[in-house]
Amino acid sequence: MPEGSLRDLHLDQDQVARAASFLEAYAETANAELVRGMPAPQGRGETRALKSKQHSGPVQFRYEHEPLFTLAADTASAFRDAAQWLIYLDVARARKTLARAARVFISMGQPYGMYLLAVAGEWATDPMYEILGDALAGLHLISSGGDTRQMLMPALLHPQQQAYLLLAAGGSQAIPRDSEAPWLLAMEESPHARGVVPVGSLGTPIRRLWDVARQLFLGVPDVSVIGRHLAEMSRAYAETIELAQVNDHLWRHAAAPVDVGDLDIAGIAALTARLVGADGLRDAVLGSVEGRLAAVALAPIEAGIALASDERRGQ
Amino acid sequence: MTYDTVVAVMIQWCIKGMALTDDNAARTIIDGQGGIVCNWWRQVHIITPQAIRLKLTTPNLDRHVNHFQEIDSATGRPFSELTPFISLSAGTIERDALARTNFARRARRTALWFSTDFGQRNYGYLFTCWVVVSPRPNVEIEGMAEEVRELNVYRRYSAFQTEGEVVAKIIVPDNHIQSCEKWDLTPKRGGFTRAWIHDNPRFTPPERLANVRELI
Repeated sequence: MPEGSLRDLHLDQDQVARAASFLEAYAETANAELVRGMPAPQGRGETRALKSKQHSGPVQFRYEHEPLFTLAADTASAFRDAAQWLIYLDVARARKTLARAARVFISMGQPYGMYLLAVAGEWATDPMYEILGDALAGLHLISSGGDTRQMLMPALLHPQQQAYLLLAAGGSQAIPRDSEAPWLLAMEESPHARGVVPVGSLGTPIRRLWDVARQLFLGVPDVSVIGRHLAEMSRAYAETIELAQVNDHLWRHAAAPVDVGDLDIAGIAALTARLVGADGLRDAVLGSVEGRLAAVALAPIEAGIALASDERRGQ
Repeated sequence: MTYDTVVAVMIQWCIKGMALTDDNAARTIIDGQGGIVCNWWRQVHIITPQAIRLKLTTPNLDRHVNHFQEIDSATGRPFSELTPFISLSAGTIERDALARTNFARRARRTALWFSTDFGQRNYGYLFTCWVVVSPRPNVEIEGMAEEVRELNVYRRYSAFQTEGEVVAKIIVPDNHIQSCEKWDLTPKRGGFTRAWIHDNPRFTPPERLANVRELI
């Protein structure tokens, strides 16, 4: 269970709860400022109205420009950081907080928000088809060398955002598994499929996330491939945690500058567990390392499995 | 032939979060006109230029950043009690960095976290100030603050150096401090609200100098 992971991480559950509560409170503070800073609907500046099949009104990337961009970035990050602690404490609350972070990220034009929504499990009820489809079209545009000046989500020019978009698409049942889809061909041909651009707080080489996304898209993935990638990411995570624990002052106060609740690992675990089940994922991860993986390394994986498992039990 | 070397320094706005006992203690930092002094000075009361030179060293900076509460073998006391450094929050939000990392943090958030004693209190005191920062490490130079992001290679997103932590030395002078604010956690509103702000009448704006880096 995720809360057992806190013992393995040598973290006091009450202090982690305080950290999560503080971040939630700070996020609400920042969100209130963001809402007050919202321009008029007929607004100044450039906006692009989009419609989602599930939404009743237009969706706008309303936080793309300053001064709202800074306020939104502050809000989204705080919600996300709160969720990173909550995955070890309260999975239902973690999902809601992830979704709140996700929506602000999307409103900033950051595809990373789609990944968080997929991880939170909200794609089944709020897939945001058109935004996701438009983002994938942007990926194809980049790959084909087209004019990207009018792209819907310019942040996609960053490889990291492309990787998260592909993970979201792979983990979403909303996207048809059409092997001839232009964006899928773009994914296969992209240099990032073999690339080393660092992604996430651990600096994971992008090729790992690209490969995971490819497997997720298959619908029936080769889970041993995903298991191998997760095992390697988890080893890097465990080493980072070990180094962070040297600064006992910051570590005990849940203030170390590391992502204890790593959402790359937990998120991939959640997306995969929904397809192959918790035991199937565990077997794949442990099988790739002959069972030799420290309890600390397993912490974010188990948290991700909980994110996927509890929703089936209605928690 | 000789060349003059020009080193561009920055004025960096920062916030110092302090977990103080009450409003009076917070206002006294402004009204006392003594600035924000390091724990070392507060403990020993009298310091000398020679002693300062011996304190401002790279190993001591490493102890401040990475071993804050460990016992210093030179003194037998936790390093935190006799540190010559003062941690400040500068924040970090930059559009391209955000796209690469999905990580952003304003100075206020970090300062508030420390000022609430890591979430153990429902109130905190924030001091807004400015310091002078050079682009290169210069721990021996008392009047220049340090950006310490390079000291921890294990930090998240280390490839992009996102942490906005700045360290001042010995003192943040009184006229560098703009104000003190108290922030309360208000459960009904679900967030923090600013309870009051206490301005420093002796504050000197940094705009007289060039290269001001705004508070994020």
